[in-house]
Amino acid sequence: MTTEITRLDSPIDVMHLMHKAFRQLSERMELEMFRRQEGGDLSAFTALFEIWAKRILFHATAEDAYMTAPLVDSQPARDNEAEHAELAQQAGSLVAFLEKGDFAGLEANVKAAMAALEDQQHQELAEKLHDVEEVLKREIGEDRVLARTRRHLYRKVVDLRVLEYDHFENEEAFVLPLVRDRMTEAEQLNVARHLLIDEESDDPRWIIDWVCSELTTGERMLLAGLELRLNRVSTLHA
Amino acid sequence: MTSEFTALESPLDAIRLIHKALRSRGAMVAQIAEQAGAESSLQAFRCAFDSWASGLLYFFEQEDALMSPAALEAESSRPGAKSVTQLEHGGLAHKVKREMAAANGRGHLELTEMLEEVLTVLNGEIQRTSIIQRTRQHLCQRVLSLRLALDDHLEDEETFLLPMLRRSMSEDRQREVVRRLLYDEESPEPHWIMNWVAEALTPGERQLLAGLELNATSAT
Repeated sequence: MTTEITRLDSPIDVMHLMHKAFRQLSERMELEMFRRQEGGDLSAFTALFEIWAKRILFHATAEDAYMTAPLVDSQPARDNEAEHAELAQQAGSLVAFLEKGDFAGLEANVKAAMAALEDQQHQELAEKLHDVEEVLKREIGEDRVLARTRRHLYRKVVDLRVLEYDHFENEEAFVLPLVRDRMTEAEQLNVARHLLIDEESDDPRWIIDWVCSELTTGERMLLAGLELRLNRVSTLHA
Repeated sequence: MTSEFTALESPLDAIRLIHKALRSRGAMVAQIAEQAGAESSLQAFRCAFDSWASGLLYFFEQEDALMSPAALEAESSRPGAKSVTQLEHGGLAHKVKREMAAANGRGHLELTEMLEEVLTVLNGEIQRTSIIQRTRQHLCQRVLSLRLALDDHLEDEETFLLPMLRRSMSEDRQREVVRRLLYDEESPEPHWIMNWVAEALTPGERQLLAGLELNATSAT
């Protein structure tokens, strides 16, 4: 589905390579969860999710600090930052759901039952939350509750992926043109450097190496070409 | 994925066949949404979705009229009916089950809103062919959400509402409810909903429905 990127007209166009890397990772993550809807071990999915979450958080933080912060008086830049916050929130919601375990899918039913019964039985209901959950598990059946939880988790993964894709599309359509217009090539290279190299890490190349691993041979050469330019700029300023 | 039904232990079990049709048509809508590409029109999706939505909305309306808490209370006052309250024991389990059964109507409202969200995407984005890929993704997402919510709803209905109705309704009354679910007496083509359901069933399952001997005219 993803077409090959064959050129970078300006340094910030490296964003297309990064977005491609993210899309491919997200698709693997979603496929893994799709396969686990009926049951099975979630460790492969959670591993992929952790990989994705670490990278998207770094990427969003770096963009906010180095790409959109300098774009003052820009609604698209502010929208971009807001979309990062929404992504983070939705990712957090998914984490919280995962942490609730196999019976998280009963959440809506438990809330509905508690809300209705609260009118009748007041404070002892808080103690009965576990009992309500047990009634529902028994009546629906544990296997079905597990399947329900897995369906809900899959839906959250899809929602997150669509949100991410929409964000990338908006950024490419509305923010990158602004960056090209308002930033010099040197400034764009600086943004790219902060997006690709984590200078605070023991392994500063963890991001660029990962992006590279998701690309075609041709795209890796584009990235390598950009990295040369980054190194030249760093040498000049050293 | 859904296994074939081979027997109906009571007339009301026909509702499980209706649920099978609802799920099956939802799966078809999802498949068409996935296959709608950037170059093709969304007309096939709209047709499939409109058909599915028509069936869903019809059943929601009929179930609200026939299987709501008010309807259950009315049932208990019919001659020969068993009072639901007399059948159930007290305690938390009873209260939870009653609440889950009573929540059926709210579930219909939520699902109707989700149907409308799909229509919003269709009607709002359909002219913008330049972002058709995004539209497709949003449609797939909305349809997935709707199908999963429908799965939960149908499962809750089968777990909590149908047993309660079976206990409170005579077989003749159950047959009448099913007849009204499967024959749209207000339509010039009252068989449309029965045909709509039957198309999604196996020949054996169609025989089960036929075996209920539902007539177009009221049995009572």
